[in-house]
Amino acid sequence: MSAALLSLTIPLATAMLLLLFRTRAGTVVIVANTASLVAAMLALDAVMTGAREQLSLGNWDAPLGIRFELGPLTAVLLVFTALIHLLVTIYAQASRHSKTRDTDFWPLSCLLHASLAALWLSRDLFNWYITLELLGLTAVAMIIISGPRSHLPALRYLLLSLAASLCYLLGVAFLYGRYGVLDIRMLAEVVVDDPGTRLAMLLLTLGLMLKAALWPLHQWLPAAHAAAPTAVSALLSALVVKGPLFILWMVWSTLAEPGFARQAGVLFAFAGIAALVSGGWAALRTPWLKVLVAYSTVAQLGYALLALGLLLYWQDPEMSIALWLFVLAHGLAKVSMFLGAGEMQATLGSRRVSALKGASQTMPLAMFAFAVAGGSLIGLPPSGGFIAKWVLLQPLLVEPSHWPWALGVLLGTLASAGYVFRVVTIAFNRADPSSPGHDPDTAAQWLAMLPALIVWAMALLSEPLILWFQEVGL
Amino acid sequence: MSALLWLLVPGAPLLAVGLLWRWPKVVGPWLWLSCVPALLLSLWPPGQTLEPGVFWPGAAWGANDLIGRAWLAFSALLWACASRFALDDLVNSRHRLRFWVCWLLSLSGNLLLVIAQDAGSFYVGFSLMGLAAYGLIVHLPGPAPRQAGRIYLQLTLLSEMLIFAGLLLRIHEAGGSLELAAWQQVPVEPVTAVILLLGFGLKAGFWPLHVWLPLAHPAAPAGASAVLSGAMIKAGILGLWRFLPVEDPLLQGAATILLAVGAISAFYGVLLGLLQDKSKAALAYSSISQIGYLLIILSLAWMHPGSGAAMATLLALYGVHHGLAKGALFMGAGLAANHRLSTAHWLLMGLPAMALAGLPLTSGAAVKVLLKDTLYSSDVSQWLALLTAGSAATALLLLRALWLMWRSQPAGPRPAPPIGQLLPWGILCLFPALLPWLWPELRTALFASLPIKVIWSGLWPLLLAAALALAMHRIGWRIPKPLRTLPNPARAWSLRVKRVLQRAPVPSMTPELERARWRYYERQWNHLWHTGAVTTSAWIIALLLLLGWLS
Amino acid sequence: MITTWTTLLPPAIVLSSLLPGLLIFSLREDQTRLRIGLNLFAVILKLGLVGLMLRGVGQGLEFRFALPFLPGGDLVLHGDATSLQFVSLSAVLWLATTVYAIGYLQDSPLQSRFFGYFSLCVSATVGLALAGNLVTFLLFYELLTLATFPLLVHRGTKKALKAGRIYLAHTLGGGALLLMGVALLHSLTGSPEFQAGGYVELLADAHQPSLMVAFALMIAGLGVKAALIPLHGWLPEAMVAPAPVSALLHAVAVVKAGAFGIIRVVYDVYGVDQVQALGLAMPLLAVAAATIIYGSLKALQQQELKKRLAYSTVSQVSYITLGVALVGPIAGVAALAHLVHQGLMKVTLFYCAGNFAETLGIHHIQEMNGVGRRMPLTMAAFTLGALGMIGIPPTAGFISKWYLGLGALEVGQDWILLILVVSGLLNAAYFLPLIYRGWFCGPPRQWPDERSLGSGLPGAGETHWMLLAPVLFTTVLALLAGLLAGSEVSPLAWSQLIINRQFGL
Repeated sequence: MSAALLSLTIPLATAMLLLLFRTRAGTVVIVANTASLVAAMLALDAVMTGAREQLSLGNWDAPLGIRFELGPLTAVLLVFTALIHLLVTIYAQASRHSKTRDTDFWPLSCLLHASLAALWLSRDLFNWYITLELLGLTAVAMIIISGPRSHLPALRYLLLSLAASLCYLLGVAFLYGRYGVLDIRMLAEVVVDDPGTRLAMLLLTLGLMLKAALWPLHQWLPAAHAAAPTAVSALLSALVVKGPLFILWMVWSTLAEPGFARQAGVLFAFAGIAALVSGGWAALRTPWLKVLVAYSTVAQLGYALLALGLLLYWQDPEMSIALWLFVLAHGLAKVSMFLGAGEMQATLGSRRVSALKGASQTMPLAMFAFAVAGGSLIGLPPSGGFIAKWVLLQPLLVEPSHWPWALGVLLGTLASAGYVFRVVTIAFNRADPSSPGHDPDTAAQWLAMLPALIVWAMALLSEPLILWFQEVGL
Repeated sequence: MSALLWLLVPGAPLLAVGLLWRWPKVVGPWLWLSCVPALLLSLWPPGQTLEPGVFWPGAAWGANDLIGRAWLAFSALLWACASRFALDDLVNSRHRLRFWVCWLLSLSGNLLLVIAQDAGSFYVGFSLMGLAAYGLIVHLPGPAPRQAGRIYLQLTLLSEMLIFAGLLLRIHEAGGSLELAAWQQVPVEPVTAVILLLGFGLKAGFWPLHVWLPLAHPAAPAGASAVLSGAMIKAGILGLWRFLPVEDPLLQGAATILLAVGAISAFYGVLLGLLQDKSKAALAYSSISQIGYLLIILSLAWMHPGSGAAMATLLALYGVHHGLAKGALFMGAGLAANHRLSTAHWLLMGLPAMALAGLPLTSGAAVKVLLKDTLYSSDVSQWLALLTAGSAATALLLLRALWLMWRSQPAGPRPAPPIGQLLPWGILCLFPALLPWLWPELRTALFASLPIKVIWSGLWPLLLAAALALAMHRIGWRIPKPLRTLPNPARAWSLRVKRVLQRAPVPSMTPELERARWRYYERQWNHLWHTGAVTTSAWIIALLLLLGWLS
Repeated sequence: MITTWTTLLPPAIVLSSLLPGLLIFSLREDQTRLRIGLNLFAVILKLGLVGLMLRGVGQGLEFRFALPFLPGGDLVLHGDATSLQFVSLSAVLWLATTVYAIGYLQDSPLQSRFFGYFSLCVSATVGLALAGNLVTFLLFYELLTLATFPLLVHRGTKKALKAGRIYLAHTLGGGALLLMGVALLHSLTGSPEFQAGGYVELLADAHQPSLMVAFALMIAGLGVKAALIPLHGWLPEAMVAPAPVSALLHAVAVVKAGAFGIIRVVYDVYGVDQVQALGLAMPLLAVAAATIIYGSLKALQQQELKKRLAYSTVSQVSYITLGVALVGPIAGVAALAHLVHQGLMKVTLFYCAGNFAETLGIHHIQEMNGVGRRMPLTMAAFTLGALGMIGIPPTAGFISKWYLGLGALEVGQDWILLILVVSGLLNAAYFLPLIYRGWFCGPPRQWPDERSLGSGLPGAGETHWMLLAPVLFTTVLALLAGLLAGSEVSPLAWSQLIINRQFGL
């Protein structure tokens, strides 16, 4: 547990430190991130050997105190967060195009990391509210780094984020007023299925969905993520939207009574399929490169939503594994995609997809990174995306009555294949290639490729990982 | 004798192709040697069968029965003579290399199909011969060879595909056996029989499957016509003999029909032949007529179970006799078209012509008498008169062919035919007279035709024909105009098939998309959502809350 | 897991082209010698390893390599007789195509990229052939799609990109269907290794509809690559690729992957008995027969040489499916043998088309007039390949058709004979005019776009030797495969061996 806490406090401390001293911010953050990653790994190692660990901060027990819990999923997510943050910060430090070098990016990203780590560890509705707020505010602040052009999307994001917080807070208040506890475990013991609770759940859900940009409340996301600086876009898509999703999953899988969960599950699942299709379609049609990648996030979150919905509908814990595998695979792939897209966009000097003509020869590495990451999003074997899809498909296919849901997955696959290869195909256009404004940055392109390679390498770890999750639960 | 020597039979021509490609000038004059292994092996006492297992499954080569050996011998001889003949004939022609490659391939196929003891090898040889012969037919420039070639190719492919189907059906009927000898004991299904009759009939060219023959044979150079008419069309008859059982109730029932077809063919050929004004066309029609006789022999064999051996002899004799004589005539036609021939030449030319009509003391008389005897002792002896009429008709047609040849000689002084052409032609011309003395089976038949009464019965139709011909010549008979250009439906059909194939009417399977309209709908849809993220999201939240409240 | 050389050989065969491929990516454009050296080294290494495996399998050794991948579905590479048939074909044709591609792409840009993907493509093909279970097969099947795409659009023209899009739309869609089918079957039994006679027998009672749907999904997914109608649309478009790619695509890599997959699914997953019992053979047979005829008819319409060849592939590859769908031993032999035969013949035809295009600028059928006089060797190879496609003996195509017909008769599907005859006639109708033009028509005064490759004289110097040698090599192989079909090393004999095991004969 102490290792997990260390993984949380190191970035927090770094953020504070950076407020005071600004020299060599990048290096400091990278070192801190490495330390945080090591700590998270130690925590994971501890979880793998032992069982779940609890910690009450300041020795105040729930319901008054704040309870942290370290389970297998939390440990994995801590590692995941630290890893992605590390990868992104290395890129931000190395690339000419990250536009983050001498900005407030460094403390903000550390703060983001810390709040996410806190979110993963918390098991308390109000505590989550605080982390959510922190997360939202830092995210908005980071978007603004990229300049005036991003102000409007950032503002919209802020506005909706506040509305979402309001909803969430209202829901929390309802629950507190009804049951008097906020700790999720204790709440689960006392919760009953009545209209009041249902309304509270609805409020919670709406707030979280808006923050996680789940369909149909995703509309702020494409503009906001596309407007952010490249490194920030990567962080936002890979990490930030996953926080509210975690809470949503936690709330529904522990608090909802099976009958209610079944009803809601169908809706979630349908929303997931709608997200897959509409997000995919939008990505297929948009003329802007980063918007395309952002819409792909919307679509990919549809898988998570589908998995969540079916988890509730069938009460099948297997689906949780699929959900979180999707999150992990998507996060890594999306980092790669945003970084690759950002590199190409900056080097070729245009935000348009059509500007990528000939990118496969002018910027082969970045394009390759984009394509490889895209392969994982499509779910081509043996990528992480494939593994996740496979785990999702198994329960879907075993009973003929479940097959219609599989059709949704099929549609999602086809849509994602469509938008990924839309870009790739253009990149192979040799007839009139757009020439890069300046020399492509090879090191940065390799950094963009790295997460994509990691997500394909997930295949090697997938079997033990799945078996472990199945054995001990999340 | 080693069985491996059989490899040389189809192998020697293929080897010659290789040598020819490398040293065309040196090898050219000696190409006829590639027939020698076949000729020698056919004369050798029957030996082992070669089973070259590395080739297609079941391959077995040899020639141990009378028909096989006779066929091999005359094919090899004819091809050898024709090779030597064509060499000088085509000495100034363009695309000689192409011609000779096709020639050798065709030769190899022809020899292979004769020595094939299994169905696979037969089919290999058959298709090789049939396809390569296309190159011989279209060798000369001009539209006529091209059209003839097209019809030939279309029908050859059809026949090959039919035979392919028939072959598979036969293999299936025989329980997987490929051995042609074993097939003789396997009854044939009606469908198979029809398919095979059509397939081989197209190659043999009897009525009504003859349509390509009168176009193709005259179109080719003389040497090629000789082998086409002499050797290749016989492959159809050989195929029928080999593929279908001699003793089979089904065929026995159908034999009368086939006999009728053969008879019609025999007279149809003559009738149409008489209407031709080119010597080679007349000769080609004569081939149709003669193939009719071969079909008659086949039908007789099927009609009388138990007579297989005797019929095989007759078939072999007739095949050899016609093959050599027709070859000599076609070469002669080629000679006459380019050179002035002396009286001695014309006398020599008359020998095979009249032998075909059944001139006493020649092989023709021998086979005719044998055929007559067979027919006489058969169930259909009432058809005997037709044979006599046939003799007269053949004589008439060949007289006309000779006359057309004589007329086709170029005017003015021309060099005498080169010895390289005269010699092979002369040898072939002499064969109708020599053959009975060389071949014991034919000799006995010839002796049977020696009694004066028999001679007379063979001679008077000829004399009748000669008289008729003389009379017609005297009155200056010309082909009536409406008959001179008979409609040729085959050519029209061939052209139509070609056109249809060039523009095959196939529906496309790719759906058409109306791009512009879909783009319009898409714009409308995008417009609908243009109000902005915040408002839309707010409305959605409000709506969902309301719904939640109400439920 | 005990690692011995028998365990390591299958991955070594895959890696023998994968690693050089990755190395080639990193080369600069001007490192020509190194690139060629790497290429040839990899080719020869792979041939050697495949030879080693052939010998080993002949001696009864077992080659198996496994890695954990998914629960119930390991990553298994397994060298059995069926996979070796395909692996040998790929290795041999890769050799020819590499030489051809080196000659073909001389002086053209982006060679490192081309040869890199080229090697990846072969690795994927070989992996697919060696795949020991459905999951592994699926993995390499998708990788093959990805590796082929850059080759297909290598020219980067508008037309190439359009073809690439169509290709991806088809193959990724097909891949998704295959994934669904494999996952469905996996959810029922996991993914055990392929075994002769299949492994679904125990499920047949309880899960009949699931099995049928899984079969339909997998065949649809594989049918895209095998170009069964109506999923064949990509193949004719794909002919815009450079000639070596078309050759590889049509002969081994992509279409064969589909056909090979169908063989695997029918023989080693479901087993012929189950396919028969579930009533799945007949629809497959009907589709295959329809494809054969439709492909030939479409080929007749094409006036572009490569397009005509492409539609001919649509038709010819379905012979394999037809043979499999007949579910009889003899037809099975035909299917497996045709896998090789069609590969050899089609690769020859595409090389020839490439030679005509590169040397003389011939793309259309009308332009082929008299080409036999300028390029007799290439035209002779073309003729032999085309005759083989028609099924004229003694070429390899005849042997396939022969066994196919006998196989059809054996299981009582006599109507297939009609299909074979009609298809043979149609094949002749679209191939013979080309041969006619090549040999019997007069050459034009000037060729469309003549380039000075080789000495320019008919014969050995008619084009660059690196373009000519592979053509002659594959022609001779195609001819020998038919001529020496009865020998023990022929594809036919090897197919017989596989089928005997399958049917327990």
